[in-house]
Amino acid sequence: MRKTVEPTRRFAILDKDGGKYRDFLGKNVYLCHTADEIGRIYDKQLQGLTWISHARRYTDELVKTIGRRQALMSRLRRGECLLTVAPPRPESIPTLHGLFRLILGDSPAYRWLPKKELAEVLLEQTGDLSEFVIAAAADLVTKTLSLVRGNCQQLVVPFSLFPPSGDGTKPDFAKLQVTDYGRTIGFGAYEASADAILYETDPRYRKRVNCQRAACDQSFGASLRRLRKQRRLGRADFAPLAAKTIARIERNEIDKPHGNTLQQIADRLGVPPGAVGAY
Amino acid sequence: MPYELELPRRLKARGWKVKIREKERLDPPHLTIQCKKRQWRVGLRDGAFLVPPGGSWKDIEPEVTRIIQQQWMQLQEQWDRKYPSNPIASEDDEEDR
Repeated sequence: MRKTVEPTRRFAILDKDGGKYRDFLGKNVYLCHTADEIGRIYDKQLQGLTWISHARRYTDELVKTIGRRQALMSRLRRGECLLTVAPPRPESIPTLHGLFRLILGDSPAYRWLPKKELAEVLLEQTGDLSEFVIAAAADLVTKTLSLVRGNCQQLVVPFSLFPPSGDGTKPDFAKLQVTDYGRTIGFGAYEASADAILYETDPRYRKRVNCQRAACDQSFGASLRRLRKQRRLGRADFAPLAAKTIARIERNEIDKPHGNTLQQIADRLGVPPGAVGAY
Repeated sequence: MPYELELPRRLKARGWKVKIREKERLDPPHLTIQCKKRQWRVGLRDGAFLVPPGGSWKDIEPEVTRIIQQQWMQLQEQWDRKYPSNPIASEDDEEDR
């Protein structure tokens, strides 16, 4: 069987004192802020290098240093990824996009994990970084939330994913925070679990979590129940199917439904019939 | 506001938190224990570990475990306040409603 080898992740931290990052300095983590230091790291042409900038002036230095080198090269050699924890000057953004394949956090709307927590999440390199949210930005016009995950993947979810809780607490999207080492997204007094967001919106994450739940119930009935709860539906909401029928399916007292029955359940849940058992 | 169990300062300093947030993965009712990057989800009906599957109370600082046990009823009440459509009451009770 072919084994997939994860590329080594390397980080160049654009920061003067480094703070918590200093605990991780070594083979795959570099600290730099002067043109010379930035140039030395860039010249190594390291695979899988993510740049993290904690100050606008260091991003400016990065643009100047890399821009000068690019100008002398016969072909463009773009950097892989840049995380701008301090948002860059708006006029630098087009240049940055020419120099890097991926730029995350290039708007002042992004809220990042505190520096210490960001360093631990990204640099300890234990576990799956995709389950951590390291930054988020709320767009109040389109009513969407952009999330940046620890593996630098982005995910956009609608505000409607965050209904008021039973005690009446409502999200205030203007008061966005990413906390708890990337496990919690805060909207003022309202907190959402990153796990809940990823489970509902990322099929690959859901599949992985469900695989890990080998010890838990993976039956069709259990999946139906989980999905019904996510949709905030009662068993009586599946008319013309009786609530007692739904209860019996969820308890696996009757065989997995097929045909019209399955179609009616799926329609009410808003998923294809084949997806009901995957939740 | 999320419900956060009051823990002594020394446990907080080590990164321990016990929470029920406004948006959790819904099924089944649970509390979330955090210690820095690590996270556990424990079912509020039976005290079994949902995340990681097969997790153990041995992984949790004994004093945190003791406080959770003392406040178990309170945690269950808080879940029911936040998630009245998915209450702690047994699934059989719910099915009969």
